[in-house]
Amino acid sequence: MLLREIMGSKSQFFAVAAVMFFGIMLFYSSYMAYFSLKESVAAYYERYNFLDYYAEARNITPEMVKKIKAVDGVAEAIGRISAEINAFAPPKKTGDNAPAGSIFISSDIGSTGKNSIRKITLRLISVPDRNPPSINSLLIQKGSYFDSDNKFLCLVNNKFAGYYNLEKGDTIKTIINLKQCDFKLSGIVSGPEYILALKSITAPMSDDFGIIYVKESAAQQILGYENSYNQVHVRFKKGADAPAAIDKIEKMLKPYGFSNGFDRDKQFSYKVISEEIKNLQNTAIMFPSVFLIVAATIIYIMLKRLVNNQRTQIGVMKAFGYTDAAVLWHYVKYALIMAATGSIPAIFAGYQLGSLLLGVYNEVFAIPELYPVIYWKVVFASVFISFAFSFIASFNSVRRIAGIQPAQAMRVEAPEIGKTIFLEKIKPLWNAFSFSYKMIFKNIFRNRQRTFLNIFGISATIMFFMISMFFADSIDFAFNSQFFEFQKQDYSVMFSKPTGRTELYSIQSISGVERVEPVVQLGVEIIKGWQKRETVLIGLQRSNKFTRLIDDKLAPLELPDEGIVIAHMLAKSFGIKKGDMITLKAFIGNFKLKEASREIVKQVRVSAITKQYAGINCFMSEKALGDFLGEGNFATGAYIKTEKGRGTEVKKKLLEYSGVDEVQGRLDIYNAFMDQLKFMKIFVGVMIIFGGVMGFAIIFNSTLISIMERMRELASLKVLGYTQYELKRLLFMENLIICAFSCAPGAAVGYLMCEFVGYLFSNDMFALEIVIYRKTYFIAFALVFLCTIIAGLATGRSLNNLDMVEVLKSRE
Amino acid sequence: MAADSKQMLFDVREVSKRYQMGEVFVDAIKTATFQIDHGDFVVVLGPSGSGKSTLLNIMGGMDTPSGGKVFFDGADITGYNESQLTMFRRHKIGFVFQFYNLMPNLTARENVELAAEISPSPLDIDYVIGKVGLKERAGSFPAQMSGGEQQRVAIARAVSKNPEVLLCDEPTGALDYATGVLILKLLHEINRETGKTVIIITHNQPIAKMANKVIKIHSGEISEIVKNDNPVTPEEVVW
Repeated sequence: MLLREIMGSKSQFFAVAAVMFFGIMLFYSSYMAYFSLKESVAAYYERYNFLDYYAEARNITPEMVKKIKAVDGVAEAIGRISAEINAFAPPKKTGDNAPAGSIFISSDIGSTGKNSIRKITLRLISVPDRNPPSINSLLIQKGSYFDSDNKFLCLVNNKFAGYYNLEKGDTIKTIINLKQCDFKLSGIVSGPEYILALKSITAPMSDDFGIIYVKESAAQQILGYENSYNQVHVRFKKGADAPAAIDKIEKMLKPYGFSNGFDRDKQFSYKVISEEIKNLQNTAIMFPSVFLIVAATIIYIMLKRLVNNQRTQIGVMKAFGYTDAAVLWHYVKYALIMAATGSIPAIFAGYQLGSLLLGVYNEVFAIPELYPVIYWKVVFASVFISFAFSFIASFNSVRRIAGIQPAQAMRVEAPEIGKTIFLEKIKPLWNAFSFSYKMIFKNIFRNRQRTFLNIFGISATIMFFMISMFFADSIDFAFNSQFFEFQKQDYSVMFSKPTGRTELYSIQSISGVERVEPVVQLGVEIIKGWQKRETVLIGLQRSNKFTRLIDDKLAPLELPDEGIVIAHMLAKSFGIKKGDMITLKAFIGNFKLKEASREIVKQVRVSAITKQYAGINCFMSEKALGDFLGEGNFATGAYIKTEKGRGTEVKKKLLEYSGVDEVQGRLDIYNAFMDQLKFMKIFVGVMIIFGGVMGFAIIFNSTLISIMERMRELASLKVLGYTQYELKRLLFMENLIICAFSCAPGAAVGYLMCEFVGYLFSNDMFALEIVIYRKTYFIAFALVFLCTIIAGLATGRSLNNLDMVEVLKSRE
Repeated sequence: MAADSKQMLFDVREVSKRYQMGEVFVDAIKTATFQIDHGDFVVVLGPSGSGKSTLLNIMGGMDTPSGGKVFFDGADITGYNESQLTMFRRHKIGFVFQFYNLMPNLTARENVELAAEISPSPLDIDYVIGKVGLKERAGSFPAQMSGGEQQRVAIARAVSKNPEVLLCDEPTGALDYATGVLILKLLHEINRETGKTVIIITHNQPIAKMANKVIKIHSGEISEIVKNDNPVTPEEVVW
């Protein structure tokens, strides 16, 4: 009997099952990815002894490290050297084949031969000569740990090795302190410290950055650390009083030029991955809920109709002695079978989608053993959730009729009582409608509950479309503002050490350079009360033309002569207002050479707050910076505008300057970011398809229900001489108007949800600006209208088979 | 003969209808041949299951025969396709059913308007509503009306399209005697005043007395066609 009912309404049955399917598939895949990511990252951190805390200081002796190790609560401490160095890489090649062989330094730097080369940045990290470090240990993925006494052996991280197809035995040629230094590659590794190896949060993933691990003895020799380190890494004992230990360590390091201490929460890669895990969990709840709620709504409407249709049958069953519970169970079973039909295949599909998602994570992150796992708890949760939603929906729609007296159930339900609708009271408006529109509006207001649920469902679909597209809008907006409105230079040049103005003149004299502006970029720490945060301070001339700042009300902001301008994100999270005093701590000269490093700590007034969409920087005018540092007239880099079409030529010449460390094209960075957004585009596309199925299912089902309910009326109209087309038009216009009614609430709820999502996905490194392009609204509306049209075409068929004679033969 | 054919509205020639119900075939109409002229007041009389509704459905373009032909004003409607049949129903036919089949969410007036809306030459709605005596009830919904009132709305709906013929399937079947007579009176008036052909299908013998032509049908076959030159008035019909 149940099977017959299912077959009798199979298109509706499968439409609901499809919505259920997508909900559970999204739920399963995101939770599977969530648990896989969370557990493999946790296992990785545990097995490879990821740090709990690290500190930076100028000169840490091995004895000091030993003392730190002896601090109460400390389980392990190691010292190491970390510095950024340059290496030369072959030019980027287009095509599938990455440049093979070694990274090389060409002997003909300076010549204009076709063997042009690129300077890239490597982060050099010292590791023990014999065994992998006991904190932030390394997983050897290819080759081996240092296997000979050769001092100049190295290891590189696997992502970097992948970019250049590096293999054991290759030579990495680097420039350290203006001297060439060759390392022989011994192994390719990964470690918990660099699950995500980015130069900084604002840098795109690129082959311009890598991690190189060298022997401690070599690092000390080349970088001039005689038997000392510039970092100490610590792991605490379980249950240790970490804050107390940290306090002690930082005090101990003070005389050694302590500059910074971080616990693992502040460690870049850790932070990014933790955020990603958090976001994944949010996604796992948010998107599937929309589908499940919509599926439940359709089940509710559908079963309500079904039981109404079968009143007599129910009466007969009850008269025979079936209990209320038995009747209820019959229909609940129907909903549960629907849930099972959707959710069981969804688990398999979810597993595939989850695997795909993990594949994307594997592309971005370096996590060993991140592969799809069947989590039974997720399987059970998926089934349970789909059943729970179906149960609640079906129980509620059937409850009333299951409790009805048998005699009453067998009686024909009282005829529908027509009512005037509120629109009729607005006479001028009502009279302006043609008769068919009057009829359409009357039908819309006829079953208010269903119209409301339809509007709810379509609004949810609009909301879903908007959330899907909003990510792309916000990111696009942030990057567009950053790279096209706030930055106007063609290239940013980084000098290898702070230089005077004369350098700028020589850059200015390069043929093809239109304008040069000096810039100072300093790593600083902003301290306000107990809160502190590392950021980049950018010093600019007041007359600069390349950097545009806006205040938090989006008005242009002139760089003040005094004080510091800080990013609104920072101001918000620290509770800083304009005019407040903050402590600013800078490490100057600590670019490459420890000898030159010097620390300045001063109180500075916040003179303005600036809105930034990408990145969290602080700004100072040249004068204010000079006041702060006690010296002026120097630059750590320059912004350059070139003559049209001469960019590449200028960049090449710039790289030939020995004092130039790096030249970044504004558009190159922008394009690199955009390239990474391809996953985002796939995500948006897939979500739109899912949402489309949801929108279709809602309209399709409610139209079919309304056709079934009005079979007799439609047949009467047909007898009167209404054409097939006119009948379809009536139903279609009804849906179209409901769809139009849904646009405003859909957009409003969509906007609020986007704000909520923006809030969920924002953190102190990255704020999702709530930007929804106008076109996004239009696309969302257009998509639900498209769903309506498709549903209209699909349901129109059932009108073709409308048998007037059959329908009108008997009384209902 | 020529003058006769000019007057002829329906020419039903050897129409048969066979349904397949599961594995058995049911002959709803074995064979039926008769003519109906313009302005006739016809009663098709037969017990339930005799095939009279099937016949009406075929004549009204709601169903197609398995064999034979139906000519309407000389045109062979059995050769019509789906959309031609729709236009035929729209322009030529006014149906009245036993169970009214009104739109529950439309008022009496709107139900009439519904039909007038699609007619190329509709009658004035208020005139029609006045004619069926429902001027005061024009704003009521079907659920607020008695069966007789509802049937009057249904007749007004059928008439408002200004069709050539009214096809009425047991129009008094769901009504008490007094109300039934009122409905018959209304149909009779329409026939007399407008000259529209009225065809009533019923199992109720006394009604046949008011027709000028009675087509008796039994077990799918026309058993007798009676011309009645002295029809009685509706008031004289008693059952």
